[in-house]
Amino acid sequence: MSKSTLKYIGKRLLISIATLFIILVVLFLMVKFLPGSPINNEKLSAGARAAIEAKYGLDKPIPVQFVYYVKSMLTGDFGVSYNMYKDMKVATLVGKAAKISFMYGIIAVIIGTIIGMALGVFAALHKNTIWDTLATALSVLGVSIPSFVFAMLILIVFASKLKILPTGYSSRNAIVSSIMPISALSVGVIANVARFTRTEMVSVLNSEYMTLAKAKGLDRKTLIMKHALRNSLIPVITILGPILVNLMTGTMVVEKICSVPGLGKLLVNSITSNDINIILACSFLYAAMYIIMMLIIDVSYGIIDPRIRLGKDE
Amino acid sequence: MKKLISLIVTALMSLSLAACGSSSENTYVYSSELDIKNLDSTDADDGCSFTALHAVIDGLMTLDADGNVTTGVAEKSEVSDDGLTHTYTIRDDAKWANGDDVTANDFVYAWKRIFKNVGNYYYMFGTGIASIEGATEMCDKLDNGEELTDADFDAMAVKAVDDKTLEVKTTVPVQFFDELMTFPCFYPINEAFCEEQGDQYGKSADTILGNGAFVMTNWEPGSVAEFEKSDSYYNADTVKVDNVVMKLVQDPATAAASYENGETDFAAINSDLVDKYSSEDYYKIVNDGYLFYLSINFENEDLANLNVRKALSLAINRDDLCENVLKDGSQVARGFIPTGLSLSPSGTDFRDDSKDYTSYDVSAAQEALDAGLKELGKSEITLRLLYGTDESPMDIMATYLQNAFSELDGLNIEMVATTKQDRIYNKQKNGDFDIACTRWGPDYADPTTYLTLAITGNSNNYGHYESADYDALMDKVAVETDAQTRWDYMIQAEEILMNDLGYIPVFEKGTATLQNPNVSGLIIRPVGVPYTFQYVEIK
Repeated sequence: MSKSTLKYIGKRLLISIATLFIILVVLFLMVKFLPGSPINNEKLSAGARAAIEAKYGLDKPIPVQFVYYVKSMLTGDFGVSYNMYKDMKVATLVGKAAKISFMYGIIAVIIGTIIGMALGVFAALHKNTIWDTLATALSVLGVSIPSFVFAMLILIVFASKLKILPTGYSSRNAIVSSIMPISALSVGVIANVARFTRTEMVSVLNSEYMTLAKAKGLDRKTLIMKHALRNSLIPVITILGPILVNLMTGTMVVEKICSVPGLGKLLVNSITSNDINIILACSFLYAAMYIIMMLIIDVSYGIIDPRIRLGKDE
Repeated sequence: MKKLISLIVTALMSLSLAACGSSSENTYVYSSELDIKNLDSTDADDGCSFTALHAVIDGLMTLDADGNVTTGVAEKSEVSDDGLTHTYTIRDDAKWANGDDVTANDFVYAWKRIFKNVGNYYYMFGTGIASIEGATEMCDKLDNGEELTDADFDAMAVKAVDDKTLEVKTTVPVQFFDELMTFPCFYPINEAFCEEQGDQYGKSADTILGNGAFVMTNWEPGSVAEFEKSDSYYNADTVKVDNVVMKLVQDPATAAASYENGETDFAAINSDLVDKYSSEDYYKIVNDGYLFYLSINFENEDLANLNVRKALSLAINRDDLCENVLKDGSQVARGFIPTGLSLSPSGTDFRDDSKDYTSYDVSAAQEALDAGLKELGKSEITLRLLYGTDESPMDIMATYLQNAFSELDGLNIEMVATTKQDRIYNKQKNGDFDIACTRWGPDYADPTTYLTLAITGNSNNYGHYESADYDALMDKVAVETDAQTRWDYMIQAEEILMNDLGYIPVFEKGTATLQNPNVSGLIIRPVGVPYTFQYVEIK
């Protein structure tokens, strides 16, 4: 790796850390100014409320609270839940939930990519036939209908009517109970990847080097697998990063419908119960995921093609 | 291709098997929309946590198969003649799940720990409720933000006379003391175990030790809690199911689908689903125990007028609100004490022994308002209606009331929407309100859990309702030792309060549920622990 590449990576890293810090400040201020309080049992006397607030250090000025928060955050301590899971460690709660959400996101991307690419190739090879129209229509539907609608559909058809899938997540039956949410999440990926693959494939198939390869007398299988598909793969891979982040962060409603104890459900519930430490940790994790993914994409672009470097570089 | 098809068919078949047979036959599955917050009796303050806590821990007193209070860990409960000393003898066969004996010290430790950790329920030990000697002083100190000293703890009159005898002294006779002992904040904690777990006590299945009907085997926050019948439970004969599963944070629509699939035996549903299920035999309404009412500010000159208050109460069509708007199993409130809260010495519900104080009559409301305006010398008045937007269904209630009150000529309503915290601690506390949408859940099954709210000077009497007659009656209630006489005083007290319209009751919150008709023995109570699994039996 050349010196300038390393310098570029270092620079991107610094920018990412600075961005994360700014996000943390903004998030912290936002949750502090949220209306309401995590300690809102109507039966508590004002004194009792004050005593509980003092126990959590909520009586200190906001800048002091922020310093404490950042300090303990750097040691991996994200505080305790005030309300939802009284006094439980937020790091443990968020960690467990994130594991499930991330796993779902990754599996949905893998499944979605394989099926989506197959569909895209199929459509490209049958360009301007009824199959192409059908595949395109399917992917348009997949892109435009939100994943939670699919979750509802699967719930109604496979769980309620056919009774071959369970209605909710269960860790004892993790694989079977994950089929519904993962399928719902994959639909969007399939649609996006299929559309992208089709477009790329069509342009590759029309390119001159394909005509040359054909003229050389290569058989159809080698032509498609070795030349066309491989060349259309590269751009497809670049859209997977953002898709993955979107999946990890956009699963809230699907998690709610399928009773999956993931990050999205935890965040939604923490907002309704005003549990500020959980809100903070979840939102920060989402932001961090996004920024890390962006960093990876930027850096890998920079390595693949030095012309695409963001920011000034001599 | 044939291979592929057979593979898919096999996969689908195994899937459907897996979907059906995930639990054993004798397992009771209960779906909850809420989550378990904590299993530490110092902190647990909501129904779902109470339900889970009571599955694993029994207090001195517990519930029998009919839901009546009976001896639990205590085999005997005695009260001195003056009604001030309660002595509980603990059963020899009461054991913690690790084999330790349940001792009197487990109670002393647990109760003092609530003060030490500033738990949510320390006020339950003080004046007006358990009234334990020395507890009120500690409550006052905590309320004033003062530190508690060892001397304060020593002064609290709860004593382990010996391993099996617990003695508690109260400052006044507390008729419902035994009933209070079923409430989770009075549960025992095994000191050695708790100290060993430190701040992790009660925060996972491994860090909770029980003495009750079940042992918690698994708890995944936001997902599931699993229990297994305890062999060491002193009353193990009464436990008919081998396992209990609590599915947590279930969306009502998902819970309903689970019920239809036979994956759960109990599901709470929301008003959107009520029409679909209300004619089924497994549809049942559960009384939540919460009373939703209007808190009136008597410092407001217009509201201090009885006719104006009468007009407000008469203008509310409570039937319509419950049946057509809320549609969640809520019932019309007929007085300030909700249905099903407490029984008289002869076993009659308070509501059946007392009168109905609410009715709907728009023309009578208009007449009352006109009379009130005449007395006030005004042609119209404007009142602010305060409610929290973060305390569903308070927003629905407020909107409904705004429409109802606006039907009256001469009355303008201004809506003040805020948060629950702001409503209580800023607006109501400082008297910055006219009418506030409020709710109150009972802490114990005695009418005083509601009636004390109207005593002059009570810290929750934000509207400053004052009645000398009412206070005099409540003073008598506090010291009366004859149960029937005390009961009659409480009925008279409610009558004064309702005739004065010191508060305006609106509805009693309910929950619409789907319950497996083949299951019997689920004890449901509107106060304390909402669901007791001990006697559940699957036919």
